[in-house]
Amino acid sequence: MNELKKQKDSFSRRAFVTGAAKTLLGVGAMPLFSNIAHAASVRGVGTRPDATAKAVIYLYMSGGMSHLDTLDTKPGSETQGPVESLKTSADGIQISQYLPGMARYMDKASVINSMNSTQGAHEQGRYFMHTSYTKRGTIRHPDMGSWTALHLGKRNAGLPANVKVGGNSAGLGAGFLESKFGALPIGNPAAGLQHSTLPRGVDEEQFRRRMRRVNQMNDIFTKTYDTKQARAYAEMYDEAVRLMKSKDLETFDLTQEKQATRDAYGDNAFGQACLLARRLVENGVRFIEVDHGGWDTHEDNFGRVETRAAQLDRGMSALIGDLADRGMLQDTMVVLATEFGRTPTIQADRNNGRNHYPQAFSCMLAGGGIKGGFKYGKTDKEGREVIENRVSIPSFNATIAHALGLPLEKKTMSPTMRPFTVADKGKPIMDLFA
Amino acid sequence: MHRTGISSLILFLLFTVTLAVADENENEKAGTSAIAESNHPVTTTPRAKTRAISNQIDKLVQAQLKEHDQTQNPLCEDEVFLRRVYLDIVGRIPSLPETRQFLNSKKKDKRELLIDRLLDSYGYVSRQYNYFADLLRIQSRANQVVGQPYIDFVKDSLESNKPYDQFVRDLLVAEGPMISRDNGAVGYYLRDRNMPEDNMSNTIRIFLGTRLECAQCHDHPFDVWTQKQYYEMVAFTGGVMTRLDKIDSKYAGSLNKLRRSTELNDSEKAAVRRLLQPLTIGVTGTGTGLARLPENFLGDDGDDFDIVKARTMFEGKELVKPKLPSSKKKPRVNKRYPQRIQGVQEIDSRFAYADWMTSPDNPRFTTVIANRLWKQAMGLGLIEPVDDLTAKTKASNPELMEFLTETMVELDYDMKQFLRAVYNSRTYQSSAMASDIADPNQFYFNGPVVRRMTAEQIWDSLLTLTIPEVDQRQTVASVRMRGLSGRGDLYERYDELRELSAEDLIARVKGYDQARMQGMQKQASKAEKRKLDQRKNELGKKIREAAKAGNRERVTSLMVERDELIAEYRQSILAGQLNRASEIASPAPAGHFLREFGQSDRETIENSNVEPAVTQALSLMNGFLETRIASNNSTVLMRNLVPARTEEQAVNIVYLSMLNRRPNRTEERVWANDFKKYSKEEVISDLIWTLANTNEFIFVK
Repeated sequence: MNELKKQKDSFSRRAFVTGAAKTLLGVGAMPLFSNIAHAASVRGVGTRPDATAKAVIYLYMSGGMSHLDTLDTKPGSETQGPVESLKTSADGIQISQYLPGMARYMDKASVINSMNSTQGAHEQGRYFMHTSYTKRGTIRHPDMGSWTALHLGKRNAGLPANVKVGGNSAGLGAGFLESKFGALPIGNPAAGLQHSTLPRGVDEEQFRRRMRRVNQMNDIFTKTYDTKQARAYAEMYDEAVRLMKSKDLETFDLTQEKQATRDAYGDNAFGQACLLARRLVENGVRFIEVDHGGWDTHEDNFGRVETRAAQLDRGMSALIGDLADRGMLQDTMVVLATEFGRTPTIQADRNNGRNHYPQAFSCMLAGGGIKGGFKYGKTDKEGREVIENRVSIPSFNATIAHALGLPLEKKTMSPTMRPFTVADKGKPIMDLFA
Repeated sequence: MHRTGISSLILFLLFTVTLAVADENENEKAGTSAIAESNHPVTTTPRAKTRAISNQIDKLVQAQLKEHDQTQNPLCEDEVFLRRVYLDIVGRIPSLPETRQFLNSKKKDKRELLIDRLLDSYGYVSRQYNYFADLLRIQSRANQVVGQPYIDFVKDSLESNKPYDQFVRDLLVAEGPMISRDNGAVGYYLRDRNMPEDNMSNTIRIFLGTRLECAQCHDHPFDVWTQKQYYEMVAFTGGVMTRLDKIDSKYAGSLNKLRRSTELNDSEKAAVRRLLQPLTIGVTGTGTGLARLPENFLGDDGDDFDIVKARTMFEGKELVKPKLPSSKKKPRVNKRYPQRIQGVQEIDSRFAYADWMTSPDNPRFTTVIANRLWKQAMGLGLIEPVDDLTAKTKASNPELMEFLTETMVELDYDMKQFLRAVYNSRTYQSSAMASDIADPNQFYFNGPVVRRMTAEQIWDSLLTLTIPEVDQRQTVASVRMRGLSGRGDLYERYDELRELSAEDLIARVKGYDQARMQGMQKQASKAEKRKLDQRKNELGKKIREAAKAGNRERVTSLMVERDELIAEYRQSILAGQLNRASEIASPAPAGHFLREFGQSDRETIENSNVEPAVTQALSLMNGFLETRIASNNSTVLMRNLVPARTEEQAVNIVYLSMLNRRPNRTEERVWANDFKKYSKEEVISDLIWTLANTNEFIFVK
């Protein structure tokens, strides 16, 4: 290619982007979603007027986070092992020494120490936590992010409603819903959204021509093979093109942040994902799940929890602090969840490991209308059994759904015409709301 | 710029009449045809036997279709069969020579011949490995476990077509050190290191298609299994350890010395530890036949920490006679080690359990693998889901399921023979279903189901368009370890390490510096590049001389030679970066193309997905294809275009290379029109881009 052509290409590329932004966003007619929108009242955002959260950042500790060594410490108990407890900014709430950063923000969070699941294996536990239904047969239930996308739609037409950063390969959560409600996956937060710009040398006109050819061929294919998946793939391109033309693409670009901010969140995938989550919320994404793996501590529980918790603590405390400073915490809910806890009995013959323990575990909620400095539910003095205010997984999810203003009673039919709801039969825990 | 490269190449090659154009045969020689040219002997099984099985499959399918007033779909076209069978058996699309060879063949039994050839190629191992890696959650590295020996074991087993029952038995009775040649089967227990309970529920699910996970914590809510039965199964693997209790004394001594050594700094010590740790890992214990109930046992047929004896889940058979440590009824529970049972004897309960598991009399063992392989070919199992069998489970075609199960036993669990019969059936070779299957229990296999390619199939198909000889086995050793010892063979390295004295070890790691190693690698590749530049310059000089002498023919041939040289160099670079999915780390790193398209993270059983994601569209539109394939004139696809003399031929070649069919009339017209309006290279790149982004490319029909 000669110099002249190069110039022409870079010019038309620029024209393409600006032109697309204009047509796509209907020029200034649509309000820009930025911090300004956050400062405004959230009423009317969801389908219910009493919604308290515009967005949810769902931090998922994959593998089963030990409750005793994080949010439900049992000082003096034999089951505690070597982990010390820390006083926190909230009266009467102590957490693990592994979470010193979070200790500063417990006045902004509610801890639930009485979580209870019926599923003791990872896949089933994870599925239950994400969907409120147990995994059976061939049906696949949607997860919370997909329900949110279905019921609330997008806040920013240029970005998806539902994003997952890192994590499990089981799928993007749409279940039996249309694929478009599933999450946009981001594999590596530091790399952001890959391949979002046209290849060098391809201009708008050429791109349109290509898309026209693709659509022609896909029409013929889906006419012959009229399957849900084939249609979904064809439609996916529309969404991809919309994203390429989005003026908010730089939301995914963490290099826009000051180095100090990036450092504060922690120089690791989880920390950077938390930072990305904040940027996504600022720009109108409704549900962001961030996966933090490695909690399956059958072996060397204390050593491994310490390293996992260090990243969690840094990322999550930076996130809550940052959201609070920006006035976003009041309508952004941060969730800390996991599939189950770990056995209170320390498995000495497995190098001080802890096994799966669905009977009792802990989760945490902060912001988006949730009380600060509050502790809900209790386990016995060894952390074995829930002895007060047991919380089922559907109720936990119903609480999140309630904050977002999702219609808990609304039935959605699966392809086999069976009715399902956002959090199955779960009831929101109203005590948790401020 | 790369694009300058293609445009000039295409212009030069498409439209320079003076160029001596290779004919199709030559192109085949230069092409990628690993399989078409394969010299593997075709497995010698009496065709009659395979045909008899295929016919019986068809009879049973057709009978059921008739019963429900349905008909079998028409026989699929050659083009459809070709692409489908390559993807199903070797996990990638056929290359251009492979496509031409099959489509041009006039042999009556060409489908049968192709199936034989594909089953005997390394592509089969690669594709089947991907399947088993997803099923067995194989990881290249997890905690301190090195996955390579296990990966080698699975590939070796597939390559030698080890009978499936033998393969499973090998996994269940494996014993010995983790890193030792031909002992990779220990990887099965090591994958669930320190989680013997989970290992048992995984085993039951993978090989018996039965969900016992729930019974780990309580009686199964929807099935008959009790929590106690679960622990009775666990008892078969009681006493199995994943740490070697007797490590080589020389090695243990070395380690102690190193710990105390003041000669090494912390990072050198860490390097030694990383190197030696794998020597402490392996599988020991033939099984005590005993296990303790957990501390929070919920059933009313036992108490916390009770010792239970091994007993099979289906029949309640004891199989072995475990010996309790003493006459005391309940040996004391050690407070610190509550699950431990002291002073018990090994009674080889693992062997009895492996025999029971893999016996043809085990009601679910054979059905599960027969159904899984059926699903591989047809896209849907006769039983769905394939791993949630209960007493009430009924196959959609019970007679066929029974026949396939019997066939598997009769074939002595020969997976290739089984698949050969399925692939040769008329049922497999029917046109695919045109719409969604609403209820798998009421689907009677009028034809196979349309599927999105797996992540591995897409990646490997794109590689087929990129590098020649894609079906090759690579050995991936940990780069870090390779750097340290300077050698590639994992087993040799560890054999040697076991023998080293502490002093030797210290000497070896002293001054080890990762950055320096990387620098050396860079130097080596620079040297290679210098050599190429030198050759290029020499040719350039010769070309100028020939031009001066007015020898046009010689100029052309020298230019072709130079292009070949450059292409070869680039290809060797590409090949270094691009390996088939089965030959790179398992799983591929987060953000890799494979993960974007749903490759399993290998955390839970069969955790891959084929769901659409916007990032996939972005990747196909703006990523790999454009940067790696279409703008690099040394890729297979671009080189396929070299002999094209006309625009029409070029279009034809791209269609045959990517969709493995010729363009139809409408398509020909569309592209012919474009050639009138736009530059040649623009249209070709549009064409490649378009085909890769259509449903027809990523769906198997």
